[in-house]
Amino acid sequence: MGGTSKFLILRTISLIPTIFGVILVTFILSRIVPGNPALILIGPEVNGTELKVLEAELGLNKPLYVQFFIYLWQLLHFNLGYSYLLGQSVNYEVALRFPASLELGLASMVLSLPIAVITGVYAALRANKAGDHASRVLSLLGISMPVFWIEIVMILIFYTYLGVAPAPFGQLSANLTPPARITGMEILDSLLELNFVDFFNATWHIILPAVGLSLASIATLSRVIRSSMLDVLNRDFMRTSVAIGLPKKIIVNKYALRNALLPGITVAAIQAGAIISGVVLTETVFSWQGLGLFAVQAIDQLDYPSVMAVVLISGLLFAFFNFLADIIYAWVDPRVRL
Amino acid sequence: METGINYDDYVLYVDDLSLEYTVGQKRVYALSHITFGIRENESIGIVGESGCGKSTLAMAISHILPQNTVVTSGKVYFRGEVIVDSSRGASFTLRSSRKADKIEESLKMVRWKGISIVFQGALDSLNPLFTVGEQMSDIFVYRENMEKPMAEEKAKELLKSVGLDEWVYGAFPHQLSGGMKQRVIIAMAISLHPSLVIADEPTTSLDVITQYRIIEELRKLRDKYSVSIMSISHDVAMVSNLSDRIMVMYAGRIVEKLPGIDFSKAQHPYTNLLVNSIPKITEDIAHLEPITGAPPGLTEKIIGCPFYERCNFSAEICREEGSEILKRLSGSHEVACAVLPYRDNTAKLREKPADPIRIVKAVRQNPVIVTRALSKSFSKRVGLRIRDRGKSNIVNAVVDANIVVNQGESVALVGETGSGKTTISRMIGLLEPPSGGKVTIMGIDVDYSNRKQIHDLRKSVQTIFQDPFQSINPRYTIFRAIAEPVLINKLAENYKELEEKVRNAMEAAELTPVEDYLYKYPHQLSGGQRQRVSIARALVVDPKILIADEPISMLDVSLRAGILNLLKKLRDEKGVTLFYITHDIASARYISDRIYVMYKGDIVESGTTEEIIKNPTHPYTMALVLSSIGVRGNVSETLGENIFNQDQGDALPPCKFATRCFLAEEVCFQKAPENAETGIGHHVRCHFAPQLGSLMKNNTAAYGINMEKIRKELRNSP
Amino acid sequence: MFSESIPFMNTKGSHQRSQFMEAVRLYFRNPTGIVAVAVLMVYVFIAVFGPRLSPYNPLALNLPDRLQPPSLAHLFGTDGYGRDVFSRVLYAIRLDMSLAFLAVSIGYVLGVFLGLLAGYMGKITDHGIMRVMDILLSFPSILFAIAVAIAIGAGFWTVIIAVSILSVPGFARVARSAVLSTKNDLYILAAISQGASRWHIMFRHILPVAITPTIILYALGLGNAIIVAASLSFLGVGIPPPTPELGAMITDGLQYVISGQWWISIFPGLFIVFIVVAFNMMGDTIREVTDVTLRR
Repeated sequence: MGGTSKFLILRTISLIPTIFGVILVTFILSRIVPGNPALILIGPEVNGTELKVLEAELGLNKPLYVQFFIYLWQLLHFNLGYSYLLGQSVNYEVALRFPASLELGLASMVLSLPIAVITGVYAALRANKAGDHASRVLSLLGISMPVFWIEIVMILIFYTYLGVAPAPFGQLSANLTPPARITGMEILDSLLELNFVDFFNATWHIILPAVGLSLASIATLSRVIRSSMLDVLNRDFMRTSVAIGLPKKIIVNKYALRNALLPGITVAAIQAGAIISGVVLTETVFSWQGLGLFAVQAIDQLDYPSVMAVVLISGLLFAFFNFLADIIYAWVDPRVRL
Repeated sequence: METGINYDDYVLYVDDLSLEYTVGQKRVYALSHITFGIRENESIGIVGESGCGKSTLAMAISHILPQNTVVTSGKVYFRGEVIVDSSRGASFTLRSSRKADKIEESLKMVRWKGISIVFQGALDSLNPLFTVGEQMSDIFVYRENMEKPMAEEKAKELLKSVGLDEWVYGAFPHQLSGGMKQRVIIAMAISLHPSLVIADEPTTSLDVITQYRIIEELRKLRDKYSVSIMSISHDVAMVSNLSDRIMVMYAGRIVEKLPGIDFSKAQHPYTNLLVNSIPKITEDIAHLEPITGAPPGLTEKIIGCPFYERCNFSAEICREEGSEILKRLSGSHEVACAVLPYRDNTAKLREKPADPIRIVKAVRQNPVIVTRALSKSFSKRVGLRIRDRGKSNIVNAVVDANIVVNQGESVALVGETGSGKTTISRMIGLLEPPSGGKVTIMGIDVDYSNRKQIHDLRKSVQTIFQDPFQSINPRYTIFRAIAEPVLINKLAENYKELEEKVRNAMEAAELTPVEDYLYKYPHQLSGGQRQRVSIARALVVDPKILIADEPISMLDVSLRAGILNLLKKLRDEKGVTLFYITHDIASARYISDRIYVMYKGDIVESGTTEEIIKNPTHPYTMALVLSSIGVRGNVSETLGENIFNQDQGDALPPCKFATRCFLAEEVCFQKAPENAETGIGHHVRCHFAPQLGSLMKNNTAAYGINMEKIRKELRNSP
Repeated sequence: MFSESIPFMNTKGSHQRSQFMEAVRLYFRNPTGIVAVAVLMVYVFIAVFGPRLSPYNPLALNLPDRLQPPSLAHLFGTDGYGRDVFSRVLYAIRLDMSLAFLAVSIGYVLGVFLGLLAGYMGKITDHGIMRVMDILLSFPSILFAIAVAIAIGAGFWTVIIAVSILSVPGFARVARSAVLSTKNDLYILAAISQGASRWHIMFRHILPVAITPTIILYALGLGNAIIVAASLSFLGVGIPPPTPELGAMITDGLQYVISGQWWISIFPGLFIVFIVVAFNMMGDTIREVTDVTLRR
């Protein structure tokens, strides 16, 4: 259908202003940063001329819009900026740490989506029965607990008291040699290397943070699926399906579910944002060597370019997930394919 | 109940069925002691207003009611087998339990293979996310264990059998028109060769002519597959068109079973009032008899006759009797009325001084609405739909419309959905600026950019909208809603004056006693009462012109006559000029002096009501008139198959009706017809207007017109 | 909020008040709603009287008494510096509550205003405003707050600014869609045909529609604000130490969790959970109640 490709193209084009906006906001915020980056770099005990030279070197004496274009130009060349503290481009550190964050984020998404759908459908089919009430209470708790707090509670229970979870320090036990870096995601790398010791250890390590991170998303999504499923079950076309006498499995899993998933897709995209935020907090709790922890450490060291690079990446990543959600939505719902 | 019934004789036998359900904390007694049977290849119709339980009955028979329903008495037999009783219930659940699974298992041969159901198609009876083809072939795949390719083949065959093109198979429901969707559903309903097809409001919300197509389709289906049909509707004409005999439902029970479709034999006062409250195109009716009051809510058990409060003939005995037990009058004619008054009181009914039949009011030639070459075009957003790719992005909703309405006159604008009639009403109602042409209201050339002028004019031109459920702010009390225009226009000095104005308007709109309504909210009123609030709100500023945009189309049948009578009264007694917009030419006949007929933005015919109804000249007007007569003929036989052809896309020939017209010839596709005068004040926009005009005169009001005959005569005439 | 400017309309049938009262009545018949309000009352009480109730100075270091488990002397134990966790929680509640209310209120006013404007004006105004909202929404919340916080420096007002900016788009969207859903309603058209002015339509017809969903969002937003504020402080970009703040207190306890000194992190967290649950329950109840009063 010609409309589909047209939709894809239009939606891709509509990414541009969003990306531009994200970059612009990051730029503005990074220029309001207190203190002169040049000053931070060389310390306060310098004379005026030295400062001027350095500012010129950094392009800080140019008008703002020129600075913005320089910033854009650098980004187009995948240059995320220079960290004065690291003494090198932020790129290197980002490339090093990004896979760990991605691994954690993806793991929690993979965990949360099916669980949310299953519990949501279950609750809808048993609306206002005990199971539904239980899921309501649990999801209320799920959205009301700060991620980092419930993770601490989980560490306390599963590591400190029960001892079934690994120590909350990083992705792999300290006594193991990490697998060779291929994707940077240790679970995947160890599997590619057929290093099953590392693989199981890495999987063991990711369980707690991934579960903690996905709780809120599961709670939110499953409620959305529940209520949309309930709506769908009351629609006329469901009566048609029942009257036709289709098997219940087909009615629920095919005809009803696809309709019920539609609002879920939109909410899942929003939850992607929540998971990105949650990754930062989770990495802090579990000393997970990802971008989030990198950013938090950079904050402590006043390394603003690094922080801003992480903020920018998270914004772009989120924009990508929204884009993906729209595509999936259009794939599921023919009505929006223009 | 009756004994000795052999349930095997019937395809379906409903025996003393009662049903209740709970909504919130309220118990609703939806059906009370329903008894009837349908035989092989029989078609019965059930007539009833919304809330009378007719859809509940359809769903109970199909075993698809929601879980909150309880069968309190009776059984439903399908070919002698019990399918519904108090232990089996009439509901379904998607949750698995041993009992539910067992019931479902026993229904396997009944669902769709025994009884199928056609829901109101313009709503969402089809799943929006799957193609028509997939939904159809799944029936074969999962019910007949057919292989996918073969199921596809079957589905395509079925679509063809209801006259749908191949592409429909791959289409999604939203790409189809209402009539097409309905045909898809009919095709689905017949897919497993059921013995009984239930059609629940199969034509509601479709255009008049499309309705005919569906009726014809259902009739064809009955002949071809010899199925029984149970059709359910509020539309008396539609049901009698399709059925062998009629049952009338009221308040969850059957109040009358007619032996055939002849409503003149009806005995129950409700049946008579219902039929008499509908304007008919074939009869001159000076005054419709409205049914007063509203049907009872079913939240309490009704003892005695449910129609008691609204009935003119009620006697003491009605408080106790006349509820559920039908009395046999003759062979198959049964009535639930305890006093059976009508036959004996015929004289009494007719005694009323017969109003002289239609006096066309002497209207002064003082035009208050004049439009000259009024046009409106909308630009579609580029790239919004696949189908308009690259094509013109301009939609001409109204093209060069010339309308004149004189002071004190009642003029109707008749047209189907998408004809542009509402756009015209918005332009004349000062709600939308035209994109071309001129509107003159009460001698003032309207300048839509002149806010002051518009503001001043608005007091004189008031609009009553179609949807009474939306046209009053749900957060406002009736008092506040009606007071609003007074406050906006600062027409009252103080609260007392305001209240007086509101009360007067409410009395004029027959919302009495006023106290009962003042502080109610819209949701506490019936549709008819809300429409009266809209009318009162319009009247409160004392307008000279009232524009009524489909004021009755969303109301229950029994409430329509009341609103029509009110509008008529306002015109006759208050001298308000009435501009009435409708798709229902019969109601236009009832309240209008003159009629304009619109088709796709063009005014195709105009003239006095008498002329238009008796000598419809434009083929489109003929189609409209024919389809609203409601005889048992086939419109397609008279006017050709093309009349149903509605999917012409954007590219219309110069004569926009040509693709559907049985007379269409070369010339219609080459140049646009001119407006021709075929009688005094009778204008027709058709190439054949002069010949048709004289031809139709000979067929006055007989409606015996026949495509072949007209064609022949046309050819013979020079 | 719903009062009439037309004086003589006030006397009778001021239906909105009655509908509002009806909603309030229904709210207090709902057990969930009552529990939520009760919890909120306790928190407000603590916020007002907390400093008087607290047995210790929340900032006073007492190294000999550090890491004491909960006891009668220290209800919630003491932290790594020997500060009384209970007293710190009491002070922190006052801080977090005022943070949440201030930030969300600012966001509410700004967001609703922008949303109404966008929805009602349409065209360029709408596009302009909603584009900006979209951009704000296109950052994951915590990361945006981090960016704001390091741009203007950590502190009380920073958290307020960050949280209120974050809550603006939500209010704007809801208010806008309320406008859009009613803007073309027939009763608006009817009012126009009677000669109503734009302002009349805005304030008499559209604003009341926007109030309900935004109030629900306000309640939910309060819960969210508390979590975001705590998260920021947890990451060290919110309220700087040693000021007692629930999130920052969880950070304080993080290093002791492994060694089993759970009380330092757990108690502040519990107090976050209680109030956020209460706000969420309130939002849900208001939604249920207003659904009923509108749909009946």
